[in-house]
Amino acid sequence: MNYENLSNLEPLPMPITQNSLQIARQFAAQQRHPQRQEQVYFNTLAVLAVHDYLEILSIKTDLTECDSWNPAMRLFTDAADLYIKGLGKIECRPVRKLHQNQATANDNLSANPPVNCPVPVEARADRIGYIAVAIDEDEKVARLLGFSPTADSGELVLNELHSLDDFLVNLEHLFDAKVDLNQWLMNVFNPDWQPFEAIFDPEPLEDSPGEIENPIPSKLGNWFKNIVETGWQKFDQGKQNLEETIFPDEHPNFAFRSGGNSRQNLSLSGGQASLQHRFPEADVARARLIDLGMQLGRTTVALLVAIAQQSDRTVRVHVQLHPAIGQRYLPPHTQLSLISDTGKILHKSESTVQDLCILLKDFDVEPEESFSIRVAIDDLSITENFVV
Amino acid sequence: MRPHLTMNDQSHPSEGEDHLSDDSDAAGGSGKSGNCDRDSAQQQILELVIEACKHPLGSPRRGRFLDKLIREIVKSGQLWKENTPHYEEALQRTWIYLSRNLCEATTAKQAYNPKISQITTWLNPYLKKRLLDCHLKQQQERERHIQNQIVSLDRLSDKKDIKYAENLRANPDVSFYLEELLEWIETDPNDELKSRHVRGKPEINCQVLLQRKCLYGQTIEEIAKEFGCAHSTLYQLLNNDCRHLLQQFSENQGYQTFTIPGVPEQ
Repeated sequence: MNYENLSNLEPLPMPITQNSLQIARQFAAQQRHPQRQEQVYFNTLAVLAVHDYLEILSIKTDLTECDSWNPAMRLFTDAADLYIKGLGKIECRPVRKLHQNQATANDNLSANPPVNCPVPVEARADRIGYIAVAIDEDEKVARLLGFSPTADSGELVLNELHSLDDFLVNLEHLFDAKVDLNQWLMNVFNPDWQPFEAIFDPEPLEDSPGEIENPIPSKLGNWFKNIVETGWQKFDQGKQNLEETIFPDEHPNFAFRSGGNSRQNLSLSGGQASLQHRFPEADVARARLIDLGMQLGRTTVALLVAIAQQSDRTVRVHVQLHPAIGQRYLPPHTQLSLISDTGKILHKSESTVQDLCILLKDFDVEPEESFSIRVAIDDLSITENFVV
Repeated sequence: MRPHLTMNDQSHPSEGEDHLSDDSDAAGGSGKSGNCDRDSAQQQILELVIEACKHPLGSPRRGRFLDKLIREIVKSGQLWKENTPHYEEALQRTWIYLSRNLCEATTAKQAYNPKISQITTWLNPYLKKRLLDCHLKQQQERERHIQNQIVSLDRLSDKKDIKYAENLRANPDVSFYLEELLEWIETDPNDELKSRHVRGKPEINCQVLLQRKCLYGQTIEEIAKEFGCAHSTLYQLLNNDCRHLLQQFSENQGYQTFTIPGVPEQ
């Protein structure tokens, strides 16, 4: 069957049950402002509609780590979030149907159905997508209008929504993109995940002993180029000075020097040296580059993941975040978080002004368990999902 | 449509299946019956069932076919419909029954067999049974309610597997907790909330932000405009500082069940 035929822009009607209405009323009654009562009432119905929809599809969700389901956060945030297990949060924005009498009481314009659906600031971070849900209380139907992967403009334009099928296709991609660490143990890797020598030492290894005419390795050369271009450092300050600038003695989080004394070793095997130092039992270690768009240009960081199989089939995981070659420090306030499959942040590490590397506490993962690693800076974040 | 593939056709079941598992274009002659639309609708439904069952339960790919299947069933107009207070409950449970037993019997004795019945013929008795359940339950509730004027919150939820049952049951605690929380925000006895503020602007602090959000119903944009700061700044204050303080409050007051999402474990 042709998958394209599945795209369907007709909204899917989900029944609004008495149970859902009861919960929505209860949540609304906890609010202290009439407008908030209304928001929470409709948010709850929207979340429950998408929850029920995904329950029908047997796609597992969890509300325990959602602001929409937390009594305190519900007082202070206009969020309608729903966590899809092991993947991330979907925001379920309600669209209210105007009642006939309401519409005619107001001017003609309001008789038209709403054309967009605002997404408040607090509902724009860490979402894997947005579903607009038209709540029709009279007919006791919540119509899932469609899907948008982003809401950067602060609203969903209803006639530009993607179909619900696109939402499921998106989920499919996210499921498929999960990094299966069991595959790593069998030496099967997604091309994004490189041996970390390829990330931290992009020169072929056999070249390194012979080719020392240019004492500056290529990526380090780029580093020089970068700093000259951006004018952070004068090129004529002298080699000695620069070397000290690049490799100062104080390395709070980073065993950088264990590789030896030559500059090449120092610069290139940093990731490896640090890993051997901190996680000697690793069976497999891989790294991937992550682009974080920033207000001032882009920043690339390298996420390093090393795993060691334990005797009881659990897998111990070690995670580090490095600046990519070309930068010396991680951008300040870069956050590295470990997230459970229900969306709970289990551990968070944040870079300070001059961190060369941050890491998570090592953790054990049971077979078939999922977890996520999130790298975030400012409002931007990238989440990588893993399964064992 | 393919003439020999009507759902009730029992004479060539295996032949029919062979054809259906073939992804080739389904162009062909018209149906033998005069009721062409209904037949092609049933045909469409049957194909969706077969496609859905090719993928594992709980996979988004099966979900895509289930979604389409439900639309087709709704469109067919053959699903039992009535205007009673618990119809939506019964319908939701029917969709779940469909999903759990379409390809493999998870909650039913047997999975759906398209050779035996049309899909709505399979679903309608289940739906009616659930309507009867709901009706009886409501009657019992009413009788109990007369006996005992206080309705326990437990009975409001019949979805035992869902976390919100807990949330409802905990409700008397919730209102108590929220009262305490709001009073703490109002008084801020140790200046914890006031001392967390936007850099250089002590007037834009956690206390003010939480009050504006909750008591005045203002949006972050509105508050940002009023104070002349970027809404991302306010969002950071809400999302980092306020969350942490709320979590601290919950812990200190012994409300272990009300942990704040997004705050790492200590």
